[in-house]
Amino acid sequence: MKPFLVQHFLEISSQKFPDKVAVKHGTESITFADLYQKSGSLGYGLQGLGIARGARVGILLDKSIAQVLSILGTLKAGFIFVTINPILKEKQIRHILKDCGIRLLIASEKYRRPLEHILPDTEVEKIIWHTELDEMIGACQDKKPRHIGTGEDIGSIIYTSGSTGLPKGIVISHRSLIEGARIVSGYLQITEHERILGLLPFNFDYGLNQLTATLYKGCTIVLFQFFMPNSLLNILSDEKITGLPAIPTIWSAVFNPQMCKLDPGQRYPDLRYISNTGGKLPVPIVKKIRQHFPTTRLFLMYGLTEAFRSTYLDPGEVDRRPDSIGKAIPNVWVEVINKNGKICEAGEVGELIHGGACISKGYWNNPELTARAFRPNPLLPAENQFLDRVVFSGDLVKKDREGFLYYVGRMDAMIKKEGYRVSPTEVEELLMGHQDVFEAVAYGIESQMAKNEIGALVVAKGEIDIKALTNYCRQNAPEYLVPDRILVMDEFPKTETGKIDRPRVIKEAHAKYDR
Amino acid sequence: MQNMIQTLAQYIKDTYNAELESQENIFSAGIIDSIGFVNLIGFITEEFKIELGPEDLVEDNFYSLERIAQFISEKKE
Repeated sequence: MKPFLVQHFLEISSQKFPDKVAVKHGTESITFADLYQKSGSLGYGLQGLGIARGARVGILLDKSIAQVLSILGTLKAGFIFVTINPILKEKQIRHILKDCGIRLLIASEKYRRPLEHILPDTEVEKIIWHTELDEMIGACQDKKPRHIGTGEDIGSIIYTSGSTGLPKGIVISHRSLIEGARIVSGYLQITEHERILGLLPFNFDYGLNQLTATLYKGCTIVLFQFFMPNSLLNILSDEKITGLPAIPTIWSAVFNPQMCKLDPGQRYPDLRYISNTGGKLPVPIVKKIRQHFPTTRLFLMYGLTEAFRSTYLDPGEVDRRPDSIGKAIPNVWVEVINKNGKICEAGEVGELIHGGACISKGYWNNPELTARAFRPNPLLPAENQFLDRVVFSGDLVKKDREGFLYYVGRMDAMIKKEGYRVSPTEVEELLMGHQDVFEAVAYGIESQMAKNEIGALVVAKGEIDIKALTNYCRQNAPEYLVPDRILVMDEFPKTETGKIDRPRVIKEAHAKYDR
Repeated sequence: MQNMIQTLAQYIKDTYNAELESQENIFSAGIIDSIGFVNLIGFITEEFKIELGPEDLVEDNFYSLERIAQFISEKKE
């Protein structure tokens, strides 16, 4: 019957590979047997605090073995873990603590001072400091928590960065976490021999997937905090990393000659796969990855936390269609539908909907928003649509004749210009094709003459000539894609997950340039 | 040297509302991430009028405010 809870992955792997290293972080490491034993002791200790089953436990720790232990101990106690990224601002941390009513917090001492400001407004009653974890584990040695749960129980609430407003809590069951680990490990062909780089944070659904896949397959995760691109390239060789999951920002740093020195002759014989998610990878970067890592398989993935991952592009297709997000992952279907709820023809732009596995339970405390994103399946006969629940992604995509999908843009960000529906992504990719452009953001400017304009903001690699850039756009794209105004910015503010914070970029540009 | 450390500490305070001891490890202090780091590098090059190449951008040169100040002085010579 097992596994139906996430911790069962660990139980099974600790029997198969007791002495193998499960998690490595710098010079520290922990075996599967130790991880099983210690997380059990911690779970027992947490249960002893007299908190009801299903309580939310906040985890405010750096990426570390202690963080992994806290996640697993929380699950074993029958609680729900909520990992909080320490680089979030006070306002966001306070919101998360309050929104899901966290009473127990596991935190690093170094956040003691900011927490003094944050906690009085919240329901937090008890804090277990990082240094007290070992004590609790030691005191409960050889003890096991008693917990009977089901796969439908909530395992985690993941707060998304949310480019507008405060973060939303996405509620994820054990079953979804298990399905996600199985499906992704399946198509990435992860085996017990893998050494996965744990570069992405665990408060990000795909970052957490590296941990669940490790527990499932009995392989090793090497935790790593990204600061400098050269250190990333070094750790790939030093740790003989075989799997590198990353996001676009990391690749822009690696391929920025001012930040990173690339040795074109360097080879990575151990590196079996690279996966990208968390935003579309611009085609020039796809090509650079293929050049620099010619023997590594590149998986381009697409997904949103509400439904974990939806599609991936087979590595064999990357050179042929580097701009595609591929097809549905196993045990999932996706469709492109138009405003009338009908399936789009090839080439027609519509909204992506996701059905099948990996669908989350909804937004914590928010039935209205949940009803908007999680809806009855519009493709079933009307009287039975309620039997199946699908996710409406809010993402516009199109499909080609062979069924490959292409990301077009967010539904709420489309620019209408001269009768065309222009996607900001299209304009941004056009700009980034120019050699001097490092990053770009495009957006619509409403004007009184009923003629909308395209505004573009760019960060240059060095010096940049706006006139030359506009001419370049004209030469390479139809007129309706050419930005009407281009402004140069020193840098773009980013969200805590490293994505460009678009609303803030646009606001700052206006503050800077409008009289 | 002390002035430089003070300027850097002020930047950290203004940007992150956090205090950092001059020898404290920046990378493990948990107040700055990779993007914050890129911003810090930008601040250093502008404020101290030095040029940094990719070979300079290694953790060894930036692990504490004191080390950054020392590194800037070396670059200026």
